[in-house]
Amino acid sequence: MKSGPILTRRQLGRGAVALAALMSMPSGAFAQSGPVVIASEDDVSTLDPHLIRNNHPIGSVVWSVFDSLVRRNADGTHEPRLALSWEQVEPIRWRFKLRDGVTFTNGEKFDAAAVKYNFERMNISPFNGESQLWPQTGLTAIEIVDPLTIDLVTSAPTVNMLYWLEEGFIGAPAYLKDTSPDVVGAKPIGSGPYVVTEWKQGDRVVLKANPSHWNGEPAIKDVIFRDIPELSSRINELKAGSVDIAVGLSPDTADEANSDKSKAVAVAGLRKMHMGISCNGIEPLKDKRVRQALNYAVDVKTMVETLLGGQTKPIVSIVNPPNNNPDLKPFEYDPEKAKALLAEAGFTDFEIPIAYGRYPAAKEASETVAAYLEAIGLKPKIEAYEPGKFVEMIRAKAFNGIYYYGWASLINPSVELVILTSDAVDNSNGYNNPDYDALVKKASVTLDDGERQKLLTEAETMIWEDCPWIYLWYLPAIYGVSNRLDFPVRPDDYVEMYRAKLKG
Amino acid sequence: MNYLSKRLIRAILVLLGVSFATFLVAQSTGDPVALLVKPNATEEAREALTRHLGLDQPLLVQYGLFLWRALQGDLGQSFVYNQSVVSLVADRLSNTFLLAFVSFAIALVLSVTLGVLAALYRNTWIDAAITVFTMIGLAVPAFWLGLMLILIFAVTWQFFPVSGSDQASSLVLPALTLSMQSTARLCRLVRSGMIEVLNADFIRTARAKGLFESRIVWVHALRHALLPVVTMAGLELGDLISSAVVIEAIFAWPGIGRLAIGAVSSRDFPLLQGTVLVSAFCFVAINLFVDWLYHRIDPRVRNT
Repeated sequence: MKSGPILTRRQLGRGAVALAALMSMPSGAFAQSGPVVIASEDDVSTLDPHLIRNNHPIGSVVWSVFDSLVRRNADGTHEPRLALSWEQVEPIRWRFKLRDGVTFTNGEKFDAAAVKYNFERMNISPFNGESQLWPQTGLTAIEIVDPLTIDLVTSAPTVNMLYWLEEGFIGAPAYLKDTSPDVVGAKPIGSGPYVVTEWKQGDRVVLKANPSHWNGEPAIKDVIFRDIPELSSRINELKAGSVDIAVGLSPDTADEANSDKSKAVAVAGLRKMHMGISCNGIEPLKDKRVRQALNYAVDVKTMVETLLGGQTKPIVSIVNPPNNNPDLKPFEYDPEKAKALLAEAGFTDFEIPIAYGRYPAAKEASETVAAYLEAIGLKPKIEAYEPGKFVEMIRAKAFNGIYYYGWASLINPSVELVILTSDAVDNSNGYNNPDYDALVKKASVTLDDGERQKLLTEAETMIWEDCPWIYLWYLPAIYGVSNRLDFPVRPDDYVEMYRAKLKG
Repeated sequence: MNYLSKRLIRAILVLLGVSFATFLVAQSTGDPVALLVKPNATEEAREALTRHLGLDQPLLVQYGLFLWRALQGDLGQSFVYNQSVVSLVADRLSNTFLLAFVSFAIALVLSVTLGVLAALYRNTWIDAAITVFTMIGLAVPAFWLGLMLILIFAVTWQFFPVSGSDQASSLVLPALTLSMQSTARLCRLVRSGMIEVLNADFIRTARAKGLFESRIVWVHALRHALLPVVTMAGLELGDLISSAVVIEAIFAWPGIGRLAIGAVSSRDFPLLQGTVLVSAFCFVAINLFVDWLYHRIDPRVRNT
């Protein structure tokens, strides 16, 4: 194992934050009014509604400024927004009734033609590199029935239409058409609960409540999304009372957000952290018994308690709750059983590369897993990757050992299971099981809810036993939240300011 | 050919070298299309994007085009931001310059004052205190110092904002942090220069003429002691611009350093080339300026 520096930057930062706690803090009253400030690690690179690269912060700002036909609730259900109702009039034809009387903030009217223009824009370059509505739903045509009714026609029946429409944002069509792309990306015009009044790149996006929003003006009038890359600075801002929500705290710093002004709020997120096990790399990993042995060898419960301060839970399925099969249980920690399985498979002391990139606690997680694998007689070799290179390796399916990785925060069993079918592009470990493929494919065209659920559960159970991953934990989403704020956190990273309120 | 035009030609060659090296290194790190599109985007979408970004052309053609456009002041479009690199860089560069120049001013004022004091009171407790201060200044990592200043002056006492760039007071802590190392290095240079000069014959003559001590120190002696400081200070300014990267991250200062780091991890070639080229240009320009200044204040350089 490689040895790190004696004191890491984070440890120094933690020492520094602890020192501040020792100094007496002024208990001055903090402002009850004034804008609500959200601090995030990443920069907002564009506000084009069809170039959303992450759920937060870009997705959070876009959700504030634009509306979609339907919106995804935190529990995976669908809330009508610009669509009032919908039905599948034929297996391949979805009909949406649109909300009447909605205008964009530049005065343009919202209607079926606006929807058609926006969706068609999502299918041209460069937007089709980012927007997934067309490829994921098999959308082939958009037909205007009347100004407030629109049909979406797909090549085959799909169960995922609503899911992908939730990321199909509707901008003011004439503005999108007639304005240069730079301006569209910098001064977005939507019909959402907020409007952008100022954007200083790399620093802040300033939002103001939209007084004429169809759902009423949101409770919080002024919102600022700030970019503060350094974690300790985000925590210090929170303590100084100049930031209300600090996004992306790490498990080991969460406690430092608990002060007289703020508290840490954690949800077990939906991003499933795991060690992907390459099924097209070194020979031993192609054997299911070896992959199971790796799962028995790692004590995930203890890692969650010690490494992550108990802020999350071990994953119990490849399908996210609430859609998972409740009968599946995490693998017990049993190194003897692991050794027995290895012996049975005939691979007892092979060298196994462990790669990691940018995820929180990636180095610690990889080193701990390495120690567990060493304990059953394997020879782990840890390799650190530059984040960009790591993503490239993932996309090229080029890792040949195991790698620390997390799956996006999806709430949709069909979408989640498709990713591990043999011809899926994001199947990064080359998992290939024809029986599994057949089940998932059949489910994706089965429109009967009960029947489909049965197929999905069968596939879910099959892959759990097959161990394409060393199952680890849900990446905890930890926020530092000001005491003046009533803010519902979501497990999928979106910060929804129009659902927040100031207390008192 | 005179001294300055030789320098100028050299500077242009350096910039050409930098642009070519950046271009090659950037291209060899990987495929930006793979990072830009969602993994399940279709093959056609990938190809369209490759064409859209001009990445389907041969490497030398891409470089030639880049250079030709750069000469006309066009550094291309950022892949990630969908904006012209020139406007992105110009926006951020002004912030980095502001930070670097304010730090530079702090470093100059502090180092000259402290250096002269240390030389005048050498081997007393004042000298010792200043030496300890410069040692600490050199030894303490900038990010740690930054965090400490934030804790004391922004979190506990709340004199200054923790981070950001929206008010003038936002500049104080990052500029102080950034200036620390330069202050320490320059201070030691001023001190040793002054000690040497104060023992020189012409200073004794000045004293013999009965000039005020303050005039002797701050005019006669300092002018001579500053000569090596000018060279050093020029390098320090370049250094300040490059080490602003870390400080910008801690203080959430929207400068060019953070832009460059982001461009590296997202393989945003035009933005990466633009930031590096512009930074190199600034560095070279500062060096040219120092050469010119040197040429002006030291007649000996003119004859070499």
